Amino acid sequence: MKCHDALHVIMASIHNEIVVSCVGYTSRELFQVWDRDRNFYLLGAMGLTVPVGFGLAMACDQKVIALEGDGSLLMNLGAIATVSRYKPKNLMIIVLDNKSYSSTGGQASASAFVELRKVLQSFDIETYFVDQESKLKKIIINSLKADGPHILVVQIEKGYREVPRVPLAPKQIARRFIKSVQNKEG
Amino acid sequence: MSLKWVYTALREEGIDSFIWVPGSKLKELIDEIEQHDVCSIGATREEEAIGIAAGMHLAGRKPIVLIQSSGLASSLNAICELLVAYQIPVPFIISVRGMQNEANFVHTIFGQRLEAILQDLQIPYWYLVDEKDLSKALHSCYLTKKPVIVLIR
Repeated sequence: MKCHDALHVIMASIHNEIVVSCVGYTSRELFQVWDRDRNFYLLGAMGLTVPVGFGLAMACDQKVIALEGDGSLLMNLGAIATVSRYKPKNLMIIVLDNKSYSSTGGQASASAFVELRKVLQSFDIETYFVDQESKLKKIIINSLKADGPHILVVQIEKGYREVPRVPLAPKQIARRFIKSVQNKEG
Repeated sequence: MSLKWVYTALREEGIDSFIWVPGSKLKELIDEIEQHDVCSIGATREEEAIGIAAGMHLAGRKPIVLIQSSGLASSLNAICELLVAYQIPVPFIISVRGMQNEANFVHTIFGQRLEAILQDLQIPYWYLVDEKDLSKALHSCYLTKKPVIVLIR
Protein backbone atom coordinates (compact mmCIF):
# COMPACT_ATOMS: atom_id res chain seq x y z
CA MET A 1 0.00 0.00 0.00
CA LYS A 2 1.32 3.41 -0.93
CA CYS A 3 1.32 6.31 1.52
CA HIS A 4 -1.31 8.33 -0.34
CA ASP A 5 -3.58 5.28 -0.68
CA ALA A 6 -3.35 4.66 3.06
CA LEU A 7 -4.08 8.33 3.77
CA HIS A 8 -7.08 8.25 1.48
CA VAL A 9 -8.56 5.20 3.22
CA ILE A 10 -7.88 6.70 6.66
CA MET A 11 -9.52 10.02 5.81
CA ALA A 12 -12.48 8.29 4.16
CA SER A 13 -12.98 6.19 7.31
CA ILE A 14 -13.27 9.10 9.73
CA HIS A 15 -15.74 11.94 10.16
CA ASN A 16 -15.17 14.81 12.51
CA GLU A 17 -11.97 13.59 14.15
CA ILE A 18 -9.06 15.94 14.71
CA VAL A 19 -5.96 14.95 12.71
CA VAL A 20 -2.33 15.87 13.42
CA SER A 21 0.13 14.89 10.70
CA CYS A 22 3.86 14.21 10.80
CA VAL A 23 6.41 16.60 9.29
CA GLY A 24 7.63 15.97 5.74
CA TYR A 25 5.89 14.10 2.99
CA THR A 26 3.15 12.81 5.31
CA SER A 27 1.80 16.35 5.77
CA ARG A 28 2.36 17.16 2.10
CA GLU A 29 0.51 14.04 0.95
CA LEU A 30 -2.31 14.59 3.43
CA PHE A 31 -2.85 18.12 2.14
CA GLN A 32 -3.13 16.75 -1.43
CA VAL A 33 -5.29 13.78 -0.50
CA TRP A 34 -7.77 15.37 1.92
CA ASP A 35 -7.23 18.91 3.15
CA ARG A 36 -9.60 20.15 5.85
CA ASP A 37 -9.53 22.76 8.61
CA ARG A 38 -9.25 20.06 11.30
CA ASN A 39 -5.91 18.84 9.92
CA PHE A 40 -2.95 20.18 11.87
CA TYR A 41 0.04 19.87 9.54
CA LEU A 42 3.41 19.77 11.23
CA LEU A 43 5.90 21.48 8.92
CA GLY A 44 8.81 21.07 11.32
CA ALA A 45 9.47 19.99 14.90
CA MET A 46 10.05 16.36 13.96
CA GLY A 47 9.09 13.92 16.70
CA LEU A 48 6.21 15.97 18.08
CA THR A 49 3.22 14.47 16.23
CA VAL A 50 2.28 12.21 19.14
CA PRO A 51 2.85 14.86 21.85
CA VAL A 52 0.69 17.41 19.99
CA GLY A 53 -2.02 14.79 19.41
CA PHE A 54 -1.81 13.69 23.05
CA GLY A 55 -2.09 17.30 24.26
CA LEU A 56 -5.18 17.81 22.12
CA ALA A 57 -6.73 14.59 23.38
CA MET A 58 -6.05 15.51 27.02
CA ALA A 59 -7.58 18.94 26.52
CA CYS A 60 -10.87 18.12 24.77
CA ASP A 61 -13.50 15.43 24.34
CA GLN A 62 -13.14 15.15 20.59
CA LYS A 63 -11.42 12.16 19.01
CA VAL A 64 -7.87 12.81 17.90
CA ILE A 65 -5.81 10.93 15.32
CA ALA A 66 -2.03 11.37 15.28
CA LEU A 67 -0.71 10.41 11.84
CA GLU A 68 2.87 9.55 12.67
CA GLY A 69 5.84 8.23 10.71
CA ASP A 70 8.21 5.54 11.94
CA GLY A 71 11.22 7.89 11.98
CA SER A 72 9.39 10.63 13.87
CA LEU A 73 7.95 8.11 16.33
CA LEU A 74 11.39 6.70 17.08
CA MET A 75 12.75 10.20 17.62
CA ASN A 76 10.47 10.59 20.62
CA LEU A 77 9.48 7.11 21.68
CA GLY A 78 9.15 8.33 25.27
CA ALA A 79 5.95 10.09 24.17
CA ILE A 80 4.31 6.66 23.90
CA ALA A 81 5.21 6.00 27.54
CA THR A 82 3.43 9.25 28.44
CA VAL A 83 0.37 8.18 26.42
CA SER A 84 0.41 4.89 28.32
CA ARG A 85 0.77 6.70 31.65
CA TYR A 86 -2.28 8.93 31.14
CA LYS A 87 -4.22 6.80 28.62
CA PRO A 88 -6.51 9.33 26.94
CA LYS A 89 -9.53 7.41 25.65
CA ASN A 90 -9.94 9.68 22.65
CA LEU A 91 -6.49 9.24 21.10
CA MET A 92 -5.60 7.01 18.18
CA ILE A 93 -2.04 6.90 16.89
CA ILE A 94 -1.61 5.68 13.33
CA VAL A 95 2.00 4.91 12.44
CA LEU A 96 2.64 4.94 8.71
CA ASP A 97 5.61 2.61 8.73
CA ASN A 98 7.79 2.55 5.62
CA LYS A 99 10.89 1.68 7.67
CA SER A 100 12.72 4.67 6.24
CA TYR A 101 13.20 8.43 6.24
CA SER A 102 11.46 9.09 2.94
CA SER A 103 11.47 12.88 3.16
CA THR A 104 15.25 13.00 3.40
CA GLY A 105 16.14 10.48 0.70
CA GLY A 106 14.98 7.09 1.90
CA GLN A 107 17.64 6.19 4.46
CA ALA A 108 16.66 3.15 6.52
CA SER A 109 15.17 3.89 9.93
CA ALA A 110 15.65 1.64 12.96
CA SER A 111 12.17 0.33 12.20
CA ALA A 112 13.83 -1.77 9.49
CA PHE A 113 15.69 -3.61 12.28
CA VAL A 114 13.23 -3.78 15.17
CA GLU A 115 9.61 -4.82 15.03
CA LEU A 116 7.72 -1.65 15.90
CA ARG A 117 4.53 -3.56 16.63
CA LYS A 118 6.23 -5.56 19.39
CA VAL A 119 7.92 -2.48 20.82
CA LEU A 120 4.62 -0.59 20.93
CA GLN A 121 2.69 -3.50 22.42
CA SER A 122 5.11 -3.51 25.34
CA PHE A 123 3.82 -0.06 26.34
CA ASP A 124 0.51 -1.58 27.39
CA ILE A 125 -1.51 0.16 24.71
CA GLU A 126 -3.90 -1.70 22.41
CA THR A 127 -1.86 -2.07 19.20
CA TYR A 128 -2.97 -3.34 15.82
CA PHE A 129 -1.06 -4.05 12.64
CA VAL A 130 -2.30 -3.93 9.08
CA ASP A 131 -0.57 -4.34 5.75
CA GLN A 132 -3.58 -4.73 3.48
CA GLU A 133 -5.50 -1.76 2.21
CA SER A 134 -8.74 -3.77 2.17
CA LYS A 135 -8.58 -4.27 5.97
CA LEU A 136 -7.53 -0.77 6.95
CA LYS A 137 -10.95 0.89 6.91
CA LYS A 138 -12.60 -1.73 9.10
CA ILE A 139 -9.83 -1.61 11.70
CA ILE A 140 -10.05 2.18 11.93
CA ILE A 141 -13.85 2.23 12.21
CA ASN A 142 -13.84 -0.49 14.88
CA SER A 143 -11.04 1.16 16.87
CA LEU A 144 -12.80 4.50 16.87
CA LYS A 145 -15.93 2.87 18.32
CA ALA A 146 -14.01 1.57 21.33
CA ASP A 147 -12.20 3.50 24.05
CA GLY A 148 -8.56 4.24 23.32
CA PRO A 149 -5.78 4.90 23.33
CA HIS A 150 -5.09 2.75 20.30
CA ILE A 151 -2.07 2.39 18.07
CA LEU A 152 -2.38 1.16 14.51
CA VAL A 153 0.80 0.32 12.63
CA VAL A 154 0.18 0.51 8.90
CA GLN A 155 2.81 -1.07 6.70
CA ILE A 156 3.30 1.15 3.66
CA GLU A 157 5.68 1.13 0.71
CA LYS A 158 8.84 3.20 0.70
CA GLY A 159 8.87 6.45 -1.21
CA TYR A 160 6.36 9.19 -1.89
CA ARG A 161 4.93 10.94 -4.90
CA GLU A 162 6.46 14.25 -5.81
CA VAL A 163 3.93 16.45 -4.11
CA PRO A 164 4.34 20.18 -3.42
CA ARG A 165 4.84 21.68 0.02
CA VAL A 166 1.78 22.52 2.08
CA PRO A 167 0.88 25.96 0.69
CA LEU A 168 -0.26 27.36 4.04
CA ALA A 169 1.71 29.46 6.50
CA PRO A 170 2.02 27.81 9.93
CA LYS A 171 -0.02 30.54 11.60
CA GLN A 172 -2.74 30.05 8.99
CA ILE A 173 -2.79 26.31 9.74
CA ALA A 174 -3.12 27.07 13.46
CA ARG A 175 -5.76 29.76 13.01
CA ARG A 176 -8.17 27.73 10.89
CA PHE A 177 -7.56 24.65 13.06
CA ILE A 178 -8.42 26.54 16.26
CA LYS A 179 -11.48 28.03 14.62
CA SER A 180 -12.72 24.58 13.63
CA VAL A 181 -11.81 22.73 16.84
CA GLN A 182 -12.86 25.44 19.31
CA ASN A 183 -15.52 26.96 17.12
CA LYS A 184 -13.99 30.41 17.50
CA GLU A 185 -11.40 32.76 16.02
CA GLY A 186 -7.81 31.82 16.93
CA MET B 1 12.93 30.07 48.23
CA SER B 2 9.70 28.11 48.41
CA LEU B 3 7.79 28.27 45.17
CA LYS B 4 4.51 26.86 46.43
CA TRP B 5 2.85 30.28 46.05
CA VAL B 6 3.55 30.16 42.32
CA TYR B 7 0.89 27.47 41.87
CA THR B 8 -1.87 29.66 43.34
CA ALA B 9 -0.66 32.71 41.43
CA LEU B 10 -0.71 30.81 38.14
CA ARG B 11 -4.19 29.43 38.81
CA GLU B 12 -5.40 32.96 39.53
CA GLU B 13 -3.95 34.01 36.17
CA GLY B 14 -6.06 31.34 34.47
CA ILE B 15 -3.44 28.62 33.93
CA ASP B 16 -5.33 25.32 33.93
CA SER B 17 -2.74 22.71 32.88
CA PHE B 18 0.82 22.07 34.07
CA ILE B 19 3.24 20.13 31.87
CA TRP B 20 6.56 19.38 33.49
CA VAL B 21 9.86 17.58 33.41
CA PRO B 22 11.28 17.67 36.92
CA GLY B 23 14.17 19.79 38.12
CA SER B 24 15.56 19.95 41.65
CA LYS B 25 14.60 23.62 42.07
CA LEU B 26 11.08 22.87 40.82
CA LYS B 27 10.45 20.05 43.26
CA GLU B 28 8.23 21.96 45.70
CA LEU B 29 6.20 23.57 42.94
CA ILE B 30 5.62 20.27 41.12
CA ASP B 31 4.72 18.58 44.43
CA GLU B 32 2.22 21.38 45.07
CA ILE B 33 0.68 21.02 41.59
CA GLU B 34 0.38 17.25 41.97
CA GLN B 35 -1.52 17.68 45.24
CA HIS B 36 -4.30 19.62 43.57
CA ASP B 37 -7.11 18.43 41.38
CA VAL B 38 -5.73 20.08 38.26
CA CYS B 39 -4.38 18.80 34.96
CA SER B 40 -0.75 17.88 35.67
CA ILE B 41 1.27 15.94 33.11
CA GLY B 42 4.81 14.64 33.52
CA ALA B 43 6.56 14.37 30.15
CA THR B 44 9.61 12.23 29.40
CA ARG B 45 11.57 15.10 27.86
CA GLU B 46 11.19 18.82 27.36
CA GLU B 47 10.43 18.83 23.62
CA GLU B 48 7.60 16.46 24.33
CA ALA B 49 6.29 18.79 27.05
CA ILE B 50 6.25 21.62 24.51
CA GLY B 51 4.35 19.50 21.98
CA ILE B 52 1.78 18.54 24.63
CA ALA B 53 1.32 22.16 25.72
CA ALA B 54 0.93 23.26 22.09
CA GLY B 55 -1.79 20.64 21.55
CA MET B 56 -3.59 21.74 24.70
CA HIS B 57 -3.52 25.38 23.65
CA LEU B 58 -4.93 24.47 20.22
CA ALA B 59 -7.88 22.82 22.00
CA GLY B 60 -8.54 25.94 24.10
CA ARG B 61 -6.68 25.26 27.35
CA LYS B 62 -4.12 27.48 29.07
CA PRO B 63 -1.11 25.27 29.76
CA ILE B 64 2.29 26.18 31.18
CA VAL B 65 5.55 24.24 30.79
CA LEU B 66 7.89 23.76 33.77
CA ILE B 67 11.42 22.58 33.01
CA GLN B 68 15.03 23.31 33.88
CA SER B 69 17.36 25.22 31.61
CA SER B 70 19.22 22.17 30.24
CA GLY B 71 15.86 21.11 28.83
CA LEU B 72 15.46 24.50 27.21
CA ALA B 73 18.80 23.92 25.48
CA SER B 74 17.56 20.65 24.02
CA SER B 75 14.19 22.15 22.97
CA LEU B 76 15.09 25.25 21.01
CA ASN B 77 13.96 23.61 17.77
CA ALA B 78 10.50 22.84 19.14
CA ILE B 79 10.18 26.38 20.47
CA CYS B 80 11.10 27.86 17.08
CA GLU B 81 9.44 25.44 14.66
CA LEU B 82 6.26 24.85 16.64
CA LEU B 83 5.52 27.66 19.11
CA VAL B 84 7.03 30.67 17.31
CA ALA B 85 6.25 29.52 13.77
CA TYR B 86 2.59 28.67 14.48
CA GLN B 87 2.12 31.58 16.92
CA ILE B 88 1.16 29.26 19.76
CA PRO B 89 1.48 31.20 23.01
CA VAL B 90 2.89 28.84 25.64
CA PRO B 91 4.51 30.28 28.78
CA PHE B 92 7.40 28.56 30.55
CA ILE B 93 8.78 28.49 34.05
CA ILE B 94 12.42 27.51 33.82
CA SER B 95 14.79 26.90 36.70
CA VAL B 96 18.22 28.10 35.71
CA ARG B 97 21.26 25.91 36.12
CA GLY B 98 24.80 27.00 35.52
CA MET B 99 24.73 30.69 36.42
CA GLN B 100 25.89 31.30 39.98
CA ASN B 101 27.05 28.87 42.63
CA GLU B 102 26.65 25.96 40.25
CA ALA B 103 28.00 22.76 41.73
CA ASN B 104 27.98 20.95 38.39
CA PHE B 105 30.31 22.45 35.79
CA VAL B 106 28.51 20.91 32.81
CA HIS B 107 25.51 23.21 33.30
CA THR B 108 27.59 26.39 33.10
CA ILE B 109 28.31 26.21 29.37
CA PHE B 110 24.70 26.78 28.27
CA GLY B 111 23.61 28.48 31.49
CA GLN B 112 25.99 31.39 31.06
CA ARG B 113 24.78 32.00 27.49
CA LEU B 114 21.12 31.44 28.20
CA GLU B 115 20.11 35.11 28.27
CA ALA B 116 22.08 35.95 25.12
CA ILE B 117 20.41 33.07 23.26
CA LEU B 118 16.92 34.12 24.36
CA GLN B 119 17.65 37.71 23.35
CA ASP B 120 18.90 36.51 19.96
CA LEU B 121 15.72 34.49 19.42
CA GLN B 122 13.64 37.47 20.61
CA ILE B 123 11.95 35.38 23.26
CA PRO B 124 10.97 37.61 26.18
CA TYR B 125 12.04 36.51 29.67
CA TRP B 126 11.65 37.70 33.24
CA TYR B 127 13.32 36.67 36.47
CA LEU B 128 10.74 35.64 39.01
CA VAL B 129 10.55 37.91 42.04
CA ASP B 130 6.83 38.18 42.77
CA GLU B 131 3.36 37.69 41.25
CA LYS B 132 3.73 40.77 39.09
CA ASP B 133 6.42 39.02 37.03
CA LEU B 134 4.08 36.11 36.33
CA SER B 135 1.28 38.46 35.46
CA LYS B 136 3.44 40.52 33.09
CA ALA B 137 4.86 37.43 31.41
CA LEU B 138 1.47 35.79 30.84
CA HIS B 139 -0.07 39.01 29.60
CA SER B 140 2.75 39.43 27.08
CA CYS B 141 2.48 35.77 26.02
CA TYR B 142 -1.19 35.92 25.04
CA LEU B 143 -1.01 39.45 23.64
CA THR B 144 1.94 38.76 21.34
CA LYS B 145 1.10 35.07 20.70
CA LYS B 146 4.71 34.18 21.44
CA PRO B 147 6.29 31.92 24.04
CA VAL B 148 7.60 33.74 27.11
CA ILE B 149 9.92 32.50 29.82
CA VAL B 150 9.91 33.12 33.55
CA LEU B 151 13.32 32.23 34.96
CA ILE B 152 13.94 30.98 38.46
CA ARG B 153 17.45 31.48 39.83
